[in-house]
Formats: sequence, structure tokens, C-alpha cells
Amino acid sequence: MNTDVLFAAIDINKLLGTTLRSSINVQSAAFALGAVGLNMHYGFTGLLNVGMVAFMAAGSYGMAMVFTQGFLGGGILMGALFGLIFATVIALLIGIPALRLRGDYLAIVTIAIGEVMRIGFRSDKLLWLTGGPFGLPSIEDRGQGVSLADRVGRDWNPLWDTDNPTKRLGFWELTFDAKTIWLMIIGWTAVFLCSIFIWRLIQSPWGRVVKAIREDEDAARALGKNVFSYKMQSLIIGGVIGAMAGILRTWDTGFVETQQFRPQTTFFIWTVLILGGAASKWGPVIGAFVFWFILTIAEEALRQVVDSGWIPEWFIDSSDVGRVRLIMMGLMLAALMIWRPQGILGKKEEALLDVR
Amino acid sequence: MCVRGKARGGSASRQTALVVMLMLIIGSLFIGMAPAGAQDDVVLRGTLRSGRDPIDAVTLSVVNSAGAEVGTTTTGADGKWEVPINAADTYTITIDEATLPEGIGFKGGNSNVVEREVTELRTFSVGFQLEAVDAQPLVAIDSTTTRVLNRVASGIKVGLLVALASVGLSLIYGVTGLVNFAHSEMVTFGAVIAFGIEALMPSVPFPITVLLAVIVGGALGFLLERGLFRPLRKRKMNNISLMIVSIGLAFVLRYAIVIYFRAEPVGYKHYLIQTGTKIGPISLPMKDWVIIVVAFVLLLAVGLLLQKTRLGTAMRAVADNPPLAQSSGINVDSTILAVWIAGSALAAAGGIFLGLTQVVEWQMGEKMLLLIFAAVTLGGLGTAYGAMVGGLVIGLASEVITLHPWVDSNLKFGVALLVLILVLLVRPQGILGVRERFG
Repeated sequence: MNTDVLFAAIDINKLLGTTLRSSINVQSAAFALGAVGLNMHYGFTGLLNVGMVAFMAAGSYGMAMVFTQGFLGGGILMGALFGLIFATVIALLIGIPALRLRGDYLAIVTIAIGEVMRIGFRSDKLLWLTGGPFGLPSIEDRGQGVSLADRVGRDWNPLWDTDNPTKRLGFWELTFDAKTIWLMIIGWTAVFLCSIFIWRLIQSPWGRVVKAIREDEDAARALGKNVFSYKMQSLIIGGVIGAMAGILRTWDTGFVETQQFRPQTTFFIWTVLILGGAASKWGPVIGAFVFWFILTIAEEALRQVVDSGWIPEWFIDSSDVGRVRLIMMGLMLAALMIWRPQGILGKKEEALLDVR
Repeated sequence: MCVRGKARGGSASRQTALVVMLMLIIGSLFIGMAPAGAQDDVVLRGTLRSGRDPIDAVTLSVVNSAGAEVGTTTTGADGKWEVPINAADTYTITIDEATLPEGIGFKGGNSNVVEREVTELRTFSVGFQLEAVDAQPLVAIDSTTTRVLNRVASGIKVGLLVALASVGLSLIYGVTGLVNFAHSEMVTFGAVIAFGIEALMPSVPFPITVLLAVIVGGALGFLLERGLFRPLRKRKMNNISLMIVSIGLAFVLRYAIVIYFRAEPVGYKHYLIQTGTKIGPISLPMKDWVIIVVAFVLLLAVGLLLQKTRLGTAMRAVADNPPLAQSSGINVDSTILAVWIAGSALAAAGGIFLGLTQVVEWQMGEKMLLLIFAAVTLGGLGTAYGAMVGGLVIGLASEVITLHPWVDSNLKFGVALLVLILVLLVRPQGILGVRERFG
């Protein structure tokens, strides 16, 4: 039980490879995209949206319903468009009751809507539409060639090589299959474009009003600005970007189910945003990369160490490793908020907003 | 009578959170009144009748959700049947139609298969709609009024538990302005600690276990305030940042509970199984009756504490205007500390009672958090009485709504929360909140 054993237990190449792979993977891009949307809400407008999953679920389910049920012709792109419209409707539904109230009400209503949607999609009564607890495309559909994963990763993918379907692209430990590479390109491009778009918006007159609302709502109102309307626009823009994150994630996993939309997903996105720096241009991107890097390296190292028997089993056994990740996420979120609320890239004076 | 005796006790005492503790002690002892009815086997049972006549010698089989047969039975001369079960599950009960006597059939639209969801391990009755084929249809087993009354009773039970858990959140919000997302974990914590004490010291009477767990729950509140939130407030952290810190804290507590408690649901060994006890037309297990009484008494005690004691007055003053309270000579910090202790002790009590009526599991608080939020917002953020009213409304609404065939047991939470959103549209300050101009 000395440190030699500990180091022998860790395979550095594999550790770094796994970590970097997950840091730039599609899931990381999806969280970055979600954080870009949340940055619009929280970072720039000061809206306390703790129900980002509601928008992600709207995007994912909207897309998957159109795809599997064949509404509106049923393509993937038509589905994605429908998902974004669905997210807009959800934004209106949240905004109309909650945006006129104090910030903490918005927090409660958003988390509530997220849960209502999750429970609703899960209901047996909607089995025909959302697959209930089985998700979409539901288990039977997946076997019958209605495969979302194939449509995205094969029919749609310029990198797909029919002669060599298991071809892996990349170098060193960083190799991915064709579908993942394709989605990574889409995902990170979307992150890049959305970041630029939001940044341009924020530097426009519209953006200055939104930031003024964040700093002092009453002052903005006294200048004759329609605060409610600006907040609503911000909620919709951020929500649509959140829906894109959901769609991207669903393209990657190949199906949606309600377990993907538990409230903790929202809090992952919050941690990504706070870590990178709220109200900064590239904060969400850096945040997503660093967040996945820290989480994966810690989890992977812990797993390897636990498997080697270096940590006593009563303390943590191998089935607990996934839970330790969530504890770390909680600690990270709390510690950042206490000691470095501006994150990696943010400015301190912009990060300390108080909506009460 | 007991309630009145307590009321006097509350008004006589001068100050300090000891009052709350005392109430909790006495209140918890009520649990001792419940007979541990664990002797009876848990069964699915029913009586087959056509009109008023029992039907005998009919074979029924019970299959669980995994498709395994749990048991087969034949009705006796009184038409009664029962099949023992040993897990909460969804059971499918099938009548072997070949064994039905001539001339007996199922009422229009009903079949020989009934599904019964057993949400907690106690005896459930299962009804089949049978009739003589030519006869006039007669009354169903439970009349609508009885079903409604039973739903209302269990709605009151759920409502009181939600109220118990919500009061602390609302009081803490009132005195500090913090929306504490970790409050749900305090609910789980109380239930889990009670389970741990019961497992370590099985011979200790359950009321004492409850009391100890409630004290430990209060101690958690003490630790969180002294160790975390007070230092952060002194650093001038704003409430939004503190709310995000509490989200992080909730994750740490929740997953620490999974790792060091256990991931699968368990029940308290005392009072695991009880058959229904009827009072009037309402049938609830004895433990539920006791929980209703104890929860009610506890809430009453909180009300008296707030209205009649110096500490309660201080709490209300701090909630109203902290600087003014401070300059009037109230020790704001110790008042806030008392609120944290009382609030988390109440949350722990709510958790234990919830564990008694359902199961103890690591997600129980998380599942309840939304009901708690809904209750607090519905009643008016920051008002203790509002949280009580809101809790009752949410509990009643979510239970009674399940009478509608469209609403399954999952969807009822969603319906309760939709009610919340509608209330916010019409009366955003909540039922008992004070209107404040915003936007």
C-alpha cells in the first residue's frame, strides 16, 4: 500500500486519452451549447433559469416525435425545426407567469416546468406519442429500421464509408468513429456560431438594454424600456439554443428518454457556465472542456485506483464511482460560487448579480 | 384534549427553541399509540358478488409485473378470496372464467382481468364488476362518496407532510432570503438517520428513535448555518450565489447518502405493515391516523411558537426587516440559527413520517422537493402559515385528482405543479403573501 502501487495502478496514456476524448466529445459540445443558452439567460440578462432541461427536452422530444411519427414529412431537419419551435412555446409558457415576478420565482417555475415535462412525457397516456418510459424511437421502433442513429450517422454523414463502417478517425488515443466525428463537427460549429451570435447581440443596442436590466431592472424601466418584453426575448433566444443542445445530444445517443432530463442535467450546465465564467464570450466553451476534463480524469483515476484495491471497499467501491462524480460536481459548483464566482474568464463585477 | 393541553404548554413558556423541541418530543410520543399491526399477512383480497349474493368456488390467479405467478386461490362460500403478497408491485388478478357459475358475467365493459398497483406494502382490496347476466346492475364495491372521502383523507395526510417539510424552507427564506435547494436533502436525512438508529438499536421504542433522528436533523441545520451559510453571509455573498451553493450542497448530501446509506428503498421495521383502520367511512392504516394527528400537532406548535413566544416574535421581526430587528435589540444571528434548527428538525420529522407511510430511499427528498416548492410558492414565499396552507392544498389536489381516470400516480405531481403555475398567473404573491409591486 505505498505510492508505487498507486502509480502502477494508473495507466497514464489511457487516462489522458479517455479524458481528452470526453472533453471534446459530442456530449461536451452539447453541454457547451446549453451553457451558451444559459449564459444568455443568467450571464447577460440575470434570469435564474434552473430548468434548462425543459428546453433541451422540448428540442429532443420535438425532433424525435416528428422523426418517428412522420409528422410534417418527418425528416430530421424538419424535426429539429419543430423542436426549436416547441422550445419557443415552452419559453412563452414559462415567461408569461414567471417573468413578471421576482427572480427566485422564475427559479421555482423553471425547475417545476422541467419536471412537469419530464413526468408528462413519461406518462403511459402518451405512450403512442412519446414512448412513455421507453423513449423515442421506442424500443420496438429501434429494431425496425427507424433508426435515428443510422439516419444521422450514415445516410446523412459525408464522412461515412460504406466499405469500412467501423473505420476510426484520429490519432494516438484520440480516435472516434465516423458518426462521432461528424457530430463533433456539427456540435462545435454550432457552439462557435451561437457564441459569436450572442456576443454580437450583446454588443448591439439590444444587448445593452438587456445588460442594464441585469444590473438594475427599475432603472431600465424608468428609462422607458419594456423590461418584460426584453426578458422574454432573452428567454426565447437562450431557450432555442438550449433546445439545440438537446437535439445534438439526442442525435448522439440515437434516442430520447425521460431519464436524460432529470434536474441534475441543468445543474451540470450551471457548473459548466460558472466554471467557464458567466457573462463572458468563450466562458461556456472553456467551461465545458475543463468541466469534462476534471470530471473524467478524476472519475477515471478513481476507478483505476479503486479497481486496484488501493482504496478500502467500505469507503468507496467500484459501483460508487459514478456517484462520486456527482458529489464532485456539487462541490465544484459550491466552491466556485464561494471563491471564484467569475469562473475562468468572467469579470468579477459582472458575476455578482443579485436579483432580489 | 391533548391538543389543548399542548396549546397551554406552548403559551406558558417564555422563549427559546426548547419549546419546539418539547413539542417534538411530546408529539413524537403519539406514535407510540399506534399498535404495531404487523401480525397480519399482507394480502390482496376481495369478495366476489353478483348483486348481494356471494359467488363461491371461483378460481383467481395473481401474477406480478415480472409475469411470475404469486398465487392462486378459490373463493369461499362467503365469496371472499385473498392472496398473500410480499412486495410493492403491480399485480394482475385474473378470474378463471371457466369456474364462474352459469348466468354470471362481467358488467358492461369490464373484463375478468384487473390490475392493481400496490404502492406500499399493505393489504389492498380488489374489486371485480360481476352481475347476473339478466339481472339489474347493482352498486359497485366502494361507493363514489367513500372513494372521494378516502382520497381526501390521504390527501390531508400528504398535505400535512408536505406542510411539515415546507415550513422550514419558508421560514429560512423569510429570515435570510435564501431559497435552499438542499432542504429536500434534510428531509431524506431525517428519514435515513431514523432508519440507521432503528437498525443499530432495534430495541429502542420507535418514538424515541424518531425523537433522536429529529434532534440529529436539527443538528444538521445548526451545522449548515454555523459552518456554511453564516460565514458566507458575513462575506456579503448575495442570495442568488447562496442559492447556487445550496444546489451544490444538495448534490453532495444526496450522493453521500447513496454511497453510505444504500441505493435501494427500505422500510422501517416497526409499523411496516398495517391493515386499514376504519373511522367512519374512511379506511387508513393506524400509523397514518397517528401521523395525521402528530403532524397537525407539530404544525400547531409552530404556529404557537411564532405567535406566542419571544423567539417567534423575533423570527417574525427578522423576516420582516432584519436591520430594524437588529436595531430593536434582537440578536439576528441567533434568531436565524434557531430558524435553521427548527426548520431542519421539522423537515427531518416530515421525512420520517414520509418514510413511515411510503419507503425510505435516497431520492425521497428530491421527489418531494417540487411539492415543497409548489407549497411554499402557493402559500406565499417566506410566510410560515402560507407554507402550511400551500402544503395542504398541494397534498389534497394531488391526491384527489387521481380520482380522475386520466391521471395516473405519476402525473399527479405534474397536475399539482400546473396548479402552481396557474396560481402564479392569478395571484403571484401566493395565497397568504403580501402583494409587492414588481414589473
